[in-house]
Amino acid sequence: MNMESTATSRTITVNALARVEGEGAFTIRMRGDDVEGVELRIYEPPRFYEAFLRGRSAMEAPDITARICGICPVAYQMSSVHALERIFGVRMPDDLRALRRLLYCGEWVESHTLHVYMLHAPDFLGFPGALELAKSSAASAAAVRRGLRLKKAGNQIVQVVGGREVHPINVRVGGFYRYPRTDDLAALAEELKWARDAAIETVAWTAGFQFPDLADDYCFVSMRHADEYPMNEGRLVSNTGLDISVDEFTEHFEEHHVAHSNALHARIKNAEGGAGSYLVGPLARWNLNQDRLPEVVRQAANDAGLEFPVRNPFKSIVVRSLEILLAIDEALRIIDDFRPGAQPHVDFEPKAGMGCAFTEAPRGMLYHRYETDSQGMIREAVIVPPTSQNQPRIEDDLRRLAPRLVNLPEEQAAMQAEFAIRNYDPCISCATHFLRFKVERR
Amino acid sequence: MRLPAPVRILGVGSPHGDDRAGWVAVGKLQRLTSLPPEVAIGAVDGGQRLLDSLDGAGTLILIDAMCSGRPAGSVVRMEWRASDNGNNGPNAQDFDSLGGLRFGSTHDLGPAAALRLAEALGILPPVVVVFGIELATHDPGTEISAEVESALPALVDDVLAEIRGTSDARQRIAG
Repeated sequence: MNMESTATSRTITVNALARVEGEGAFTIRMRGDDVEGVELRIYEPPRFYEAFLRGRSAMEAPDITARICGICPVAYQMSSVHALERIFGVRMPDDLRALRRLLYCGEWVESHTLHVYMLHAPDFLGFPGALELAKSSAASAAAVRRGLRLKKAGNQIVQVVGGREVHPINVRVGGFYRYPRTDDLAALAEELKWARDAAIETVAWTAGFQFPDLADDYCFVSMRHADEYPMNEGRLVSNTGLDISVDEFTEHFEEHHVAHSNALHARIKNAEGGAGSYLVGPLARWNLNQDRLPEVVRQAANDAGLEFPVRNPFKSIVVRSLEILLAIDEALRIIDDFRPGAQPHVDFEPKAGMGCAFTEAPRGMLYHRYETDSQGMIREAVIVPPTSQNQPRIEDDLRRLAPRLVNLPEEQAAMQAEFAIRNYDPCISCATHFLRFKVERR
Repeated sequence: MRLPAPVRILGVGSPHGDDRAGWVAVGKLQRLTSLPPEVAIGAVDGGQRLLDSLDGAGTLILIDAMCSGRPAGSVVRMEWRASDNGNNGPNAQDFDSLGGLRFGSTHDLGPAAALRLAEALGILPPVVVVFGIELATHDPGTEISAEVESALPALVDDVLAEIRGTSDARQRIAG
């Protein structure tokens, strides 16, 4: 961290913000106690995935888009195949639909557990990282061991259903290339029974943390399904009255370029009294789908004393833990009920057309739109990742946090800002790698 | 010295240039038919998977590309010493020059960070030996370099000597 101070201005630069995905920079400009400006600068060069997809077969889309992220490849696969299947008129039979939900459960578990245990918990407990946390006491070491095993359970789901743990290869437009083996599913279920108890312990562990208060009147946006906690299907709703189908997405949301970021910002069109920032991710899903929770999750939330709605972003760690529990419970149910059909995919003929879909990535709603020609070749692709959508909201949080940072020592100010950024588990790699942090005080 | 069983040999790497050296080395070992039954061989892509692969091992032998400034193809043998956590021993800098991303990235952690975390968690095998091979390039899309490829047979021999208890703990500097 570099520090520069004069009588009228001070600058802090942290060159290595740990425990976030991707490369970027962050600056707060202060004049006295007033916040002059906040910028989350994502300067990693654009990765051109949308351009890579042009001219490629629709059948390649799930494998190409999976490469966008090593933590949430399933989300990219799911949004891409759902969008393309809408063009080709594919209807998923129940067994394949259930398998896709099982695969998604695996990703939620591994992604959320990594963030809860390795990245965010050290902030709450006052350690620079998971290594120091693990060294601090036998109980902390046991907690980190529990986290690693939980994450591995999530990875195992992805391995069994997706063919491998990272960038799975079994997903195709129309379903899967092969069914998972029955004995692999049975072995998985045994580990998931342990994992369900471990997830309940995780909820209790995180609920015991001390939470800084940064509650705000957020606009929460998430999918909502008729009778499930949302993952692959549903409408898009908000706590401000939005209730739309995926086909209406571009009527209500838009992306725009800001000079300080290589990742497009998203906003709600024509938002009243603001820039249209909104929050996607666990807090939004939780607050908008309370009536879709399985009993075991509802009970764990009650035991944890979690209020509703949750408006303090620092409590996202508890909600992520509850979603780990939900995903494991759901995975066990799906494995128990699973009966393979005649073949692991639906046959279809490619068509020319336009199709879009959103699904709920661990970090929030992920929108894909494709245009294909009559041979099923992709003519255009649009991908709106959750971190791009959350960027303006992260800036809003830091703007509100900034006055509390003015009188803190530089290092503490930087740590508090990073702590708040991590509430969003930003995957800048999906929109970019690595953050630099800078506070300018005038 | 007979190594505590079971022995796990892991190649760490990626598909990029010489960073695949660990994978190629374990591939050569897997094709051998003369390995003792208590030896298991695998490939991992970073610290997370490394942590997932330690369960119950008595000995861990790790093979990974490194970037220490030595001539490409040089092989360095390192022993993990419990007391110094890889921080202060004679190979401290070498451990940190192993491949992989820095600790703190959510994409993954480097092998040295993973070993430190494993030790803090009490899951590190009692004996850990690391063979680092100096890389020439790890640019995306490139093949393994001639220097590293030509050094791998001797590295594999070193690993076999380690398993058989005939290692003379030597280092071989290329060039």
